[in-house]
Amino acid sequence: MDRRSFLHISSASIAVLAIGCKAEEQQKTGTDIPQAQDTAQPDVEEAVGTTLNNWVEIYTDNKVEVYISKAEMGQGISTGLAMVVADELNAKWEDIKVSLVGEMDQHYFSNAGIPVTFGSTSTKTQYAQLRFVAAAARQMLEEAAANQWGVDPSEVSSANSQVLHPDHGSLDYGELVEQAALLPVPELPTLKTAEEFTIIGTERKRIEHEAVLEGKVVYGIDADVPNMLYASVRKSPVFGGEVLNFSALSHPEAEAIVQIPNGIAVVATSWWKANQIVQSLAVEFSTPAELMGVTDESIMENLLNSLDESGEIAHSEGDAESGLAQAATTYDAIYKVPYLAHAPLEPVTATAWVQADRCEVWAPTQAAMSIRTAAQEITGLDTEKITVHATYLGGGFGRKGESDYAEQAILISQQVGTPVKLIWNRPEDLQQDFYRPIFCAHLVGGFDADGKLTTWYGKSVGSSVLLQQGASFAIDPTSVEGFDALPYEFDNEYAEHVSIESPIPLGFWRSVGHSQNTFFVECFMDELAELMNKDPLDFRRELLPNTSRALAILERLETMSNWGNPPAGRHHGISFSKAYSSFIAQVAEISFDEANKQVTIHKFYCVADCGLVINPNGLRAQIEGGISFGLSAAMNEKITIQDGAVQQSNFHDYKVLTLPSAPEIEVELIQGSSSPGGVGELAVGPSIPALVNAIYAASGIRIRSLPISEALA
Amino acid sequence: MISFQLNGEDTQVDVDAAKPILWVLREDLKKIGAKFGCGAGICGACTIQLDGFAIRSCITPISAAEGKRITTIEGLKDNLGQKIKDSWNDIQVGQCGYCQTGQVMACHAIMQQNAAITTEQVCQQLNNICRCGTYSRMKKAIANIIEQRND
Repeated sequence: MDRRSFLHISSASIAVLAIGCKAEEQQKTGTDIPQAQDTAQPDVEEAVGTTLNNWVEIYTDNKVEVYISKAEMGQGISTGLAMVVADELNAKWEDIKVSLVGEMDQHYFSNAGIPVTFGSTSTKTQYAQLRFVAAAARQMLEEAAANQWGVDPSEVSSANSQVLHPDHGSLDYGELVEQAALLPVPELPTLKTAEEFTIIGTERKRIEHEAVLEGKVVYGIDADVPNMLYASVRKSPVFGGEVLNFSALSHPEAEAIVQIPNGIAVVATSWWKANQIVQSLAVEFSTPAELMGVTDESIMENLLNSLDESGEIAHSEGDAESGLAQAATTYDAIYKVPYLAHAPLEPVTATAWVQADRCEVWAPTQAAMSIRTAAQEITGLDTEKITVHATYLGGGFGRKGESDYAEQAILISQQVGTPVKLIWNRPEDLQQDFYRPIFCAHLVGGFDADGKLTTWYGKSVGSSVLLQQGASFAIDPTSVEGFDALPYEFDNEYAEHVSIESPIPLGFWRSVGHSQNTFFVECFMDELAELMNKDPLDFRRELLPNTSRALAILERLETMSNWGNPPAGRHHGISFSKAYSSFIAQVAEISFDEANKQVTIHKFYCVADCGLVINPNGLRAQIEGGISFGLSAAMNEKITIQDGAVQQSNFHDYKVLTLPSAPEIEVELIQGSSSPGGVGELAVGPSIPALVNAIYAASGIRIRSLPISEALA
Repeated sequence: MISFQLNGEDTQVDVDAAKPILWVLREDLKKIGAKFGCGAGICGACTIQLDGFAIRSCITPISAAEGKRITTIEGLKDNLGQKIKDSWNDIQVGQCGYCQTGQVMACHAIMQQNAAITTEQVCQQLNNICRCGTYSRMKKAIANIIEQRND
């Protein structure tokens, strides 16, 4: 069949609404949303206009193309959002294809937060809008068929990319698309009810999965542009250092050696050659005086001393000071965590081609628009002359939301005048990262004479990613998420945060503040439970009396893990977290070799309530992956700094989790809300205290400083 | 000139003999299935097979391929290879997928060497890095293949 791709289903605009306030409010209090109540109809809130073709195109051969503007970095968002569109559109799943586009301009819903893939917000922030788009298209196709049959639109239905009528048979979407394109776009399309879902909530395979295993998926690192040269870079190992001897640098096999901020790039006809050269050159870097003598240990010492400083109040309920003064028993502990690197397996890379009148960039990115902005600034070109191709990512974890590597590629191409593919070698990737900040926290609990935990006091010290980026507010919310406003019910709850300026570049590491705060909170909860001789699960349950979604997952987890009755030789540890509008609890099942102080992580049990489940397979995968990511960090990961430079250089000294050490993971999902919550980062934070708490159960060793391998050494 | 078989086809490249096989594949032969992850032979993203044995192509010079058979993911078409891919697809192992071609090539080599290998043994030997943490699914996929083999 002739595929005429220029036929679109209308260019007129429609209004799309974001998920309403009411659904979010219910998520915050954690109160039950009865399954029968269909909150799949988002509340009327801020409506913005968009055009159908920006998001979905229906072709005369019945193929449906869905534009995905969120970055596909393994969280399965391209499949998930395509499922949302396909369901509402009543399209045949097998005819759906996805195209990745950079999130900006026509591929950005302005009522969907910022144009970045971050914070486990992708489903939450595009779910409703995409449903409106798809519903509009569906209605127009149904109307077109009704017109053709001379019947009222109410008499037709649609399924599997066909419009149906009991007496007139069926018409394919592909046959209707020309006529549908001429119809007025419905102002406020009618959404399906949850009972009518045929794709949302069903197990679907990742659209790209087969192609991945054939080596056919094109990641950022695979970009191929004719006449492309290759570049490898080297920045000052001491942060902020400058190249001192640039004019002395040369190499016969280099096509070019160019300057980049704080470093150099070598360009050659092969990346291997460019990299060999850049690593061999005798580059002299300056050593900023303020960074000499700065180590991760000196930084941590400074943080610990700053626990005595006054910070900003992140949360205050009741009167914690009185609560502690009047407590029958008080208990406190200090916890510490190190700098962490992202280390996505595809190192940062970008391919750029700067010409006099245009600029094209291919990059694995969580923030395509920031790359375009950088290209504007560097080249002076207008946005219409700049194209950013957002590719598949070989892992992101927050690292690929930065535009530094794309900026380098643009600068290099601008100087050499050809397309240039820049790939960072692994040492560069580890040493020029934007790190998860080093943190410490002091926690104090106060019990009354009956043994009830009445008062919770927490003070953390760390550095702010957002403040380093130039934002200005009293507290960076990402520093205290999971530390302030805990889901537990205390009479008095207080959280304070001291923010220290960081000499080290900081960035958003998968789960951000939760990555350290869940460790602090959930380990301290266990220590408090033990003080009162309470079972850790019961202890938490008693402090969550009104959060039915939390109680539901704890109950399910208790049974599922056979909590408290691990197999012989094994021990359990538990954690709970409320984050990203979702609820999660985990049990780690481990064994401990006393003689060698070796931990074997046998299994993880997890129950999660992420609200509306789009793709259960994808959701479970994100939880499994998040647990692995957290365990990897907890067991072995630590970035050390010496004289203002990162000491680690590859996976031999920045050890990440591998299969021989990885646990079995069992996940159950409870759908406690009909709005989707976030999951991409949800499982990371709580995996760490579950493990640490299990190690205590097994060994009597309290670990308050990570990584575990260091604490046990 | 270095001559070898690539996925069954006679191939010749005119490159520096020291150039790692990974970069010859990716740059000169446009086979992008093998990936770059560390450049030090640690992560395994570059895993391919040389005469049926898994090698880390980022640290193996193309000179080592002279007269030999290179198999990449693009040429993994035997029975065992199909079983592995089918099981991987069935279980939906991959997330970002970047490491998976290397995982599959390594798994295939391990299983090919020993028809009686157990799931535990495969999992002890398969130490390619996956940052997305798909290990628990890899283990299931491997167990399914072993079970099929034993049927």
